[in-house]
Amino acid sequence: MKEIIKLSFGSSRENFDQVVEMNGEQFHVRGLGANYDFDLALEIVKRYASECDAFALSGFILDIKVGKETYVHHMVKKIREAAQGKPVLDGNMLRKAAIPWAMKKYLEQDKHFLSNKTIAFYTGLVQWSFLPFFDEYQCHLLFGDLFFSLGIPVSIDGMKGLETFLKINAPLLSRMKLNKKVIRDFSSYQTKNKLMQPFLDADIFFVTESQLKFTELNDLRGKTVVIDRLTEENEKKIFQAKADRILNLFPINTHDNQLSSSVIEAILSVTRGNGFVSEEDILENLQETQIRPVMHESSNKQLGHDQFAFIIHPLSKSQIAQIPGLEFLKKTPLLDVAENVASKLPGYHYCQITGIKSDFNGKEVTGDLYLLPSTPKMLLTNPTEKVYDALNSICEMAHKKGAKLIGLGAYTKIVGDAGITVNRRSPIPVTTGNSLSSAATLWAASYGIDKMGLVKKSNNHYHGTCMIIGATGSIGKVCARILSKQWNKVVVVAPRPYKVLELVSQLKEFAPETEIIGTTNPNKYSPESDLIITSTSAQGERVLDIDLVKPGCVICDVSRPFDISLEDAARRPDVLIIASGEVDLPGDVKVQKTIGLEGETVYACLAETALLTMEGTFESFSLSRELSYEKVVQIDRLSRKHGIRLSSIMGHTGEISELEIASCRELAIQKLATSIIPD
Amino acid sequence: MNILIIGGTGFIGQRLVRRLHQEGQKIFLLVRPKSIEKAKRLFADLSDITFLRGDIENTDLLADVGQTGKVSDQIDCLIHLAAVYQLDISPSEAYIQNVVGTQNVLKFITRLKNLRYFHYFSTYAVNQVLSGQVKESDLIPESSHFFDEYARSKNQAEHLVRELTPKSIYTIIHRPGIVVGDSVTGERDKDDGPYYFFNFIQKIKSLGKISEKLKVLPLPVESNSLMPVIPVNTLIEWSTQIILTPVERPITCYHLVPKQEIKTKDFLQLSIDLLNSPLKIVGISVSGMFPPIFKLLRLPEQLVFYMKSRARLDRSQLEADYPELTGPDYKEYLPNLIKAFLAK
Repeated sequence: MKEIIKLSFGSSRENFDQVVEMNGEQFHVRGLGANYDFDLALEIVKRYASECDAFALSGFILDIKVGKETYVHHMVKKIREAAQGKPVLDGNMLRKAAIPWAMKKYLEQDKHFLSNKTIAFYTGLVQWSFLPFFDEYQCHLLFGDLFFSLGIPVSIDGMKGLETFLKINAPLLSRMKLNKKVIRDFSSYQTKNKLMQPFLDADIFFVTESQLKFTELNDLRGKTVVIDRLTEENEKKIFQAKADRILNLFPINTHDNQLSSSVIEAILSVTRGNGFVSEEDILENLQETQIRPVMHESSNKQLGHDQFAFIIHPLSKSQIAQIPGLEFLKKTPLLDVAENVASKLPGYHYCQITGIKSDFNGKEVTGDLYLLPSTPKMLLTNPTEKVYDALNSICEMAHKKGAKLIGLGAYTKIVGDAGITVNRRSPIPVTTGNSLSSAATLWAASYGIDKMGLVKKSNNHYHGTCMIIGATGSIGKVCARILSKQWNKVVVVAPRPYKVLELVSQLKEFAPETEIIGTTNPNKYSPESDLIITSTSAQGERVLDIDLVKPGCVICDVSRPFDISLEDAARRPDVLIIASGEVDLPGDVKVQKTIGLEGETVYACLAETALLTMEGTFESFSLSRELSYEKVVQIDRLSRKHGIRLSSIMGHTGEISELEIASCRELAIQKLATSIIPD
Repeated sequence: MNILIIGGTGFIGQRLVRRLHQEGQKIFLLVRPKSIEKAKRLFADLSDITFLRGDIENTDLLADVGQTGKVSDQIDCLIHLAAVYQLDISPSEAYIQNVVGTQNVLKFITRLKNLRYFHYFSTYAVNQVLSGQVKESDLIPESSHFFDEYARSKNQAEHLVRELTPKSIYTIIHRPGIVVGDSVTGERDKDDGPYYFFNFIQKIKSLGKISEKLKVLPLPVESNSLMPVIPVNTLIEWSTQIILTPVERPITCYHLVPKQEIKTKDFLQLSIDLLNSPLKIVGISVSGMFPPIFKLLRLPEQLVFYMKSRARLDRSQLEADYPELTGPDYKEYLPNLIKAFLAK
């Protein structure tokens, strides 16, 4: 078996002896700590050079590259000489490739992780090899080098600052003799001063496993920690210090917990047989690895107080006249001009929603509402780029006021690519709230069906027929999947037969118990349907002959503009037509100004933004026009967890009262009793 | 029991081997390949001892355990007392022998399938800087200050023993005090510890007339300084009893020192008296001055620590498990030590 000695400059307390496996081969790795004694380190190398195949270094000052010059620390130089030709690896080449690689992997799922963040590095001197990556992401980088190397408690600002520091000090540092006294501990009272404060205030702390030993853990309170390797013991320590979350870049199983970057390099150098590791070897190995970064969230996370933002806008010209200061426009011919002029104005902070408090963990969140004074017409006719700019400047404002997530209300989520561009340009994640909107609509449909009481229900299962018009669309598909688990018979309708067939077979697989029927003609099954969901892009064209609809049917019209015209709706008072469901937020919610809904009821999409904030998931949960079944199910679960409930069901012209439902039911029962149901 | 002893040719080791052999135990000895002949001569009078080649400095401790067939399966008790002991040892020598050596033993342990007991010989000096009551469970951090590299390396090694020994094995840590010669014969290995002091007194005596005028001897001993001295034969008896009737706990540690506390001042004064010197010890506490003075007198400066140590070694674990182990009175055996010392 090949022998590797991991020589660390630190304590012998962590000495180990382990057989590790890599690429199917076993290696004997021994960890020997030199107790901060360089002469001892050198003696160890001399003593064991003949017995081992490679040395992996840890805790030594690596080669410092400044411009074209490379400074090799005198200790490392001597160790390389003493190794009698055996390879001495420091892991730097691996880190240079692997850390940006792992960060990129993580950013795929959390793209705002680095946006506008301040990242603190305890020592840029040791970590310079991968710093350009972070610089690319326009993060604000701060370094503790002045304190770490020279004991001067001042934080270094940015790559430029670090370069200057290295340029001046590299010759000195490469000659500096390291010992226990030179290693500065960040728990020192000296770091608690004004000049060090920016460093301590950083959002993200990038630490390596070995740096944790001289890190003041209390500095990590409420922060995000990025670490190269996380042992269970360290995870406990960091969370005990009340850090919010830890991004573990290389989660490897505990049996191989001695596979640090220098050891991996040493193994590669040994297996390649030439004692030399090239960048290619490393790339090859990285490509093969299945390791993905993992985020650990603190379970005792400080509930704290998080803020979200939400963008609203007037839904019609007449609402412009409700904007404070513009009331005089009411009933004047100037209103049309005002609509146009207002749409050119930037958005502004409208009001606050306070007192939202999770039923689950009591976490309180506050929402800032921003008003973009554009009507739907203006939003859709103004140049898309201009609207994006207006939305993004609101995102900037919200970010500055401390919001961690922003939601797009009403038509702002329809403009252009439905949030994708806005999200890309925003400093904080953006969500459209579509997942909760859809969930709330389905809650409203169930509520309507239950209130009408014409469909037999047992064990949350409806013994009846439901029909989804526009079932192959994004919302339609999700509804079809959810409803196919709740209803006896599901009819899916869409204009293109091949798409219908595909969906039918998918649904049959998904819900084998349910009768699934596909058709291109909704009128064929409307007389037997108890629930009809329409979600089409028919742009107001008639999709359904309202006269054929079964009395007492509940129609959920999700399309905008509506599929069911007001005239059609008026013709069938015995049919309950729902446009959406609105929700109540948990807690003692106060909305400072009217947002067009009764009391403290809020839009479901706003609720999604608040819900994600309560959950602490600051991500672009819903984006684009696509909707995902998993996300709707997830948001449904989260809603129940934090206490978001359906408050009212909305029809075409506003809230549907209990009375309206009751009269609809009466009419339906009468009609069912008198009409001849076609067979 | 089948006992494998590492470090069986040393001062304490030799005696332990003979004592355990006398008790009828099957003894395996791990010996450096180059000293194997010497070891065989040393124990030529004992029958049925198996010699194994191996060097704890090497990664693969028992590289040629293959030659001994299934030996590794037979061992049910391992005693590790190999260590270099010198107060002026170099850091790298101490580290490689005592720390890496122990680490290699701990690795080797995992290959002994039937091992039940692991006896590790540490030293009371692992807690060098502590004063007052020092418990058997105490072990100061390896980053603490140490007066000599021996104590430092033994501290590091005991940390490794406590942390790396598989939990399925009963680990017993023997922490002897200052080991002096045989309480009956006075036989000893080398002149260290109190023997430095005996030599020193002899040197003063050899100065002739000047020494007669000297009435007092200022030393950095305080009235409450303690000297945990144990004669080698007592240590062997105690360790043998612990090895033959071991307590089955994951980790047990014993301070192997006599029940009766020995005041440094009293011990040294009695030594002076026995050496027929009129000197009277005067305790002073200007400790900063002593290292250079000791150097001048050719005494290891690390000795200062042993003189002014005020640690009171708690032996409650030992008393709970082996109440009969109380130890001899130094006043009774010190004359024997001095007699043997003078005879040399």
